[in-house]
Amino acid sequence: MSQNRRACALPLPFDPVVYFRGSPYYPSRDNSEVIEIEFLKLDGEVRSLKLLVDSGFTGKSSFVLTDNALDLFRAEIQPANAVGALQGQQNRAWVTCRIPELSFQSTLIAIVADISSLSLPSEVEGMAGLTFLRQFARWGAEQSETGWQFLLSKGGN
Amino acid sequence: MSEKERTLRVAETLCREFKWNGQTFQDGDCVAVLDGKIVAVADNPDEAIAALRAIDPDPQHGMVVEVSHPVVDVIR
Repeated sequence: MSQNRRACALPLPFDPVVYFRGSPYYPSRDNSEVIEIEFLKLDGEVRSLKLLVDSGFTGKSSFVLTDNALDLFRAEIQPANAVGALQGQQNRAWVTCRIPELSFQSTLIAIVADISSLSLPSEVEGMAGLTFLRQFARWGAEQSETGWQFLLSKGGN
Repeated sequence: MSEKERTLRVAETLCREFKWNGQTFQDGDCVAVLDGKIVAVADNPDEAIAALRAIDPDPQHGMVVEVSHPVVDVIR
């Protein structure tokens, strides 16, 4: 897919990621923003996960992942307390995530928990919070001719 | 006391006192701990994880502690 595809030529939301001036755009869902991020396993394999974007998820942790994401662990980190939709002490791990289109790769902290109580949209396997978003120079949603879309950018676009 | 309990004890002390066994640490240091012993210190998690995994490749073993005061995660 062209890296310079114009926003007005975006395909329908069935296409998970499109690009505008080198930045990935994720077509918005009816009532949520969902992005797809690659995670690197220790053995070098890559696993992609669709994550709900929620800037109201704050703290040191960048992600909430399901407890079937053990294969993404690079190492455990000390547990930390959570309040809100998840409560009490949470197990956490270092995970390495990347977005190749942005040449972005970073090792960040993920809470690993039973997320059935979070009522996530279908096919969504966790959450990405404010600490993840702040790895980027710019993030947010824009309305195009084809509807709302979420963008991440390292800046300079 | 299990390996995990020994490692957690070190992690809790590091984040409370910023020191362990006479060694002091800076806020943000990443400390690799295995079986209750510090095996590496780095200023980023990747280096600490690499050092830990070079000793024990099992990601379920050991821990990379970020030395900092505890922060509560808020999940709406």
